[in-house]
Amino acid sequence: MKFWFPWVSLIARLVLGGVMLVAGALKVTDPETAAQAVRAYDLLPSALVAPIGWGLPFLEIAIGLLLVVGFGVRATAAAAGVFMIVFIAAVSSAWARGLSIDCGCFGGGGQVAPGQTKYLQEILRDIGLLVLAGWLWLNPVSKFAVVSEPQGVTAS
Amino acid sequence: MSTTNPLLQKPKRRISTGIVVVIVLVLALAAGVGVQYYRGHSKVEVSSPGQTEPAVITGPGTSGKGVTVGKAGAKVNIELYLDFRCPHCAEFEKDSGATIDKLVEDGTATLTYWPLKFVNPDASARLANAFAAAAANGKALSFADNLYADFSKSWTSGQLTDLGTQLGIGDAKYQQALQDNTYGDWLDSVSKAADDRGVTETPTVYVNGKQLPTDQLTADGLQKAVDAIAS
Repeated sequence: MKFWFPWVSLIARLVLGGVMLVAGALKVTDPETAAQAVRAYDLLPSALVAPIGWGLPFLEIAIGLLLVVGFGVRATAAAAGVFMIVFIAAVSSAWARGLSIDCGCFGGGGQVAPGQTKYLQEILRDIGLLVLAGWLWLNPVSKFAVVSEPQGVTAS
Repeated sequence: MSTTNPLLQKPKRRISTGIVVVIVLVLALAAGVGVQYYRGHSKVEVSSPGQTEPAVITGPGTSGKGVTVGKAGAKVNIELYLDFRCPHCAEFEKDSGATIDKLVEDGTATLTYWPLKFVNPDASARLANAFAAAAANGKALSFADNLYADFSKSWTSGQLTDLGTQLGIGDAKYQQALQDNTYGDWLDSVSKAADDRGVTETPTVYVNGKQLPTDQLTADGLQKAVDAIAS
């Protein structure tokens, strides 16, 4: 392991964790909007739309916090990676079906005017975050983490 | 990779951090469930008690006609296509609600509600029906204002009952209307009328039959459109 790996992992933690924390916090205060954003994808049966819209922000906040403080980085990064894969798949599907929606990633969401969609940016951003999650899975040891893991590996 | 490859390491003795992470995520979900419970059980508080209630000119139930409130004979008619679970409608209400209420109160304008029910197939319809029940009891405006004032509430049937009681309209007839979805057919006719007019999103506002452009959907924009006619 190169000496600078833990520093890169620190940055990856803060960026990925920060984004998830902010994304969750912006949505958690507005559950109806979050549910509406999920509904706009038109992917889930209606009984599942609301619980997912309401629950997702809480999970994002938890993952964001764990990454920012640096606890259980590998497992948390895996969870974040799964989220990103799901988000990328959902946005791609909306794009492929010709929907005109905002991803609702940071609050808002729902229908937008055709031509106002930002699918490419949304997917590229999520791929970038997925790469960070992948990096953290492979290199979970980072500077300034409350729990340096896995056990027995020191950040040196 | 050398022997320091983290993939080959096994945590010793203590509980693996992975399990703790799973526990934290489960707790986060539990917090979500708790908040959701709160949204459905939080106490109803009328946002502006003592608000002047405009008279209901046209009540709910007339097929293809919205609910109109205000002073008959006003020069201006504001038509509002709304959905009680539409976040943009809540924002619009926050921004322009006071302006509209004032225009209605001073007799400048009448206000026609066209309650739609497409945002949330379940809750929108339920709230629209409750609104109609309230309008039938003469409390259209304050009922609508209160639903938007606490938009994050689930507005369960129990909460709607509370609101009705606090507005002084929670009688048996109101209860019955909530239970029986009495105004479902009327709401269908309202939705159809909106479709026929080409209304595809909420909020949509018409001032004397002319649609307010999306970028004018503000307190200022609305006031200007009304002033242009009233003055």
